[in-house]
Amino acid sequence: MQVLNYMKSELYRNVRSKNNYLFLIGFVAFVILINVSLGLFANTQVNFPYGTTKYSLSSFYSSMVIPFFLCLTLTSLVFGQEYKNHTLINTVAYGISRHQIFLGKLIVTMIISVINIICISAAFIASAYLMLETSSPIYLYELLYALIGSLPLFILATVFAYSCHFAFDSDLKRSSVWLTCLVFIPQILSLVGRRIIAVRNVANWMPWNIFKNATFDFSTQQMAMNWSNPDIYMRCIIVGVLGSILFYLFGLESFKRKEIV
Amino acid sequence: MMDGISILEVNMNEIIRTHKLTKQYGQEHALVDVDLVIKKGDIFGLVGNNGAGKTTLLRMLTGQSKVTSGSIELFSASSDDSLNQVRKRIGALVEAPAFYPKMTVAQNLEYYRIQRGIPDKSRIDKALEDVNLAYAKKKKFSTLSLGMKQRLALALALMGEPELLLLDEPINGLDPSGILEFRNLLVKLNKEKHMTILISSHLLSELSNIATCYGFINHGRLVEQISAEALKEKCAGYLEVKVNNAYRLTALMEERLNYKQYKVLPSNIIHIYDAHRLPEKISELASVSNIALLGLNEKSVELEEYYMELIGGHASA
Repeated sequence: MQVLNYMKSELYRNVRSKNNYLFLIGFVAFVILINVSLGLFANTQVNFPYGTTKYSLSSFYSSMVIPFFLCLTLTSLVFGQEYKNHTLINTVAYGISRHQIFLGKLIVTMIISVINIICISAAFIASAYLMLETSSPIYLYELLYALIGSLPLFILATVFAYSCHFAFDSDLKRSSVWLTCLVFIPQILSLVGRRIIAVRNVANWMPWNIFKNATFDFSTQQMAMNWSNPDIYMRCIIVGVLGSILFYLFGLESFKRKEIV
Repeated sequence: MMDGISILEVNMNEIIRTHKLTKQYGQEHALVDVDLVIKKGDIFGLVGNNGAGKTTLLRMLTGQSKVTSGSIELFSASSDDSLNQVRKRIGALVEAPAFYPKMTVAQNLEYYRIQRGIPDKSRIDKALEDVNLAYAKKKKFSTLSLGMKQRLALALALMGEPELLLLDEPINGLDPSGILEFRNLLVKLNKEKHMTILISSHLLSELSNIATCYGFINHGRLVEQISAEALKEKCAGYLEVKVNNAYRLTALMEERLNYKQYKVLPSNIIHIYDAHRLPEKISELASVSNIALLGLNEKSVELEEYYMELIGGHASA
């Protein structure tokens, strides 16, 4: 009951936050602009090869790292600068436990993140179909498959970014830890893994490498992303679930030990 | 020996009890072995200099800060979970007022009303009226003056109609009329709603008109806990005696006059606090004992003087 009340209050605050709307409108406008630009070029240039939904949707499909980075910004928006404003004082002093605060805010963050991803993706797909020459529906299915496949990894990235907000006071420290753990270390391990097989096996389980590793399929002349493979699709789910639990516990423990000032 | 019922009554009557409460930041002790008891209906003035440990104590009572050692009981609850449960009966204003700067006064209170599961929306207006801030309900928090922010924080503390109010230096930023209104409000809440109030300040004079009980804190230690009546008695005055041999006179005083409450100061000065003290008896005793009486004056103690002496004594101990 207390968690529900906390979630309701967080939703109340977020619905009234201008920054959330600016973020959503900004990204929706950006993705629409991409397809509008492609459409305009296709209309003005003869034999322009990129004025199709195939190109647009495939580009999105192979650029899943972009939404990956959005997790950091989105969690920052929902967190609402609680430490800077010292507003957690009032919540803790009222006897809402730190676990309830952590869980409640995470659920709200997830709800808002999913709404954002759905709106941005829908705007991208709709604008592609409105502005560009329609190709085979297979590219849409691939994109939707990629979005669903990478969802556990987005959840992991969001939980970790969220936990960093509770664990560290400064934005710089949060971003640095997030980037180091989710981007730099996997990249380094991936490079080392070119020579050492054991390291490569570990690196292949890291979200960033799952997003980035792709092979070129000569038969279809297309990039084949990792989650085209059912085994790797399953890996996304395993990594997403285990990583989210691990980072959740990290964030919760950090928050429990924190002095609320 | 107390029977079971009277023990229960005593416990029910205690709103706050701490036992050897200690807070350590690294090697530094912010609070040391604090044993504090606050009873239902008290207006408890917690007095101490800046950095004495007042805010640390309040932060531990509100759960913002973890206990290093010792224990806290609020409404007889002491486990972490039960403490969180009873904290719903507390209204708190600890440190600076903290709200979302881009939300209005009313929106900020609405946010906490939803969070606290208070069904009655009119409580927001009632709390704002109580602190005279109803006129500013549509103003953004970031545009409020310090005094208005303090009032808003007090409105939040009162919104849940708490049984215990914890206030940390609440008068900061209020103008003189605001301070007067604020004091009247606290007395009204205490009288009409039997609200127990713990209010901290570094100025004893701020609390002297309303507190029914005092706790003096210095360097993280609770130096003294005393009722307002007892404090008044202590501040009633003393007899200052200057002689050529203070130790001999005090020995005679104890033996012949049964005066036990006194203090010997440097330069053969004695302060006699005993309630039955009589200057003529001292004069007579000095005369028959061949002790030169160099001065004999009845003096009174201001509250601040008493406090300074108390913490000064502790510091030198």
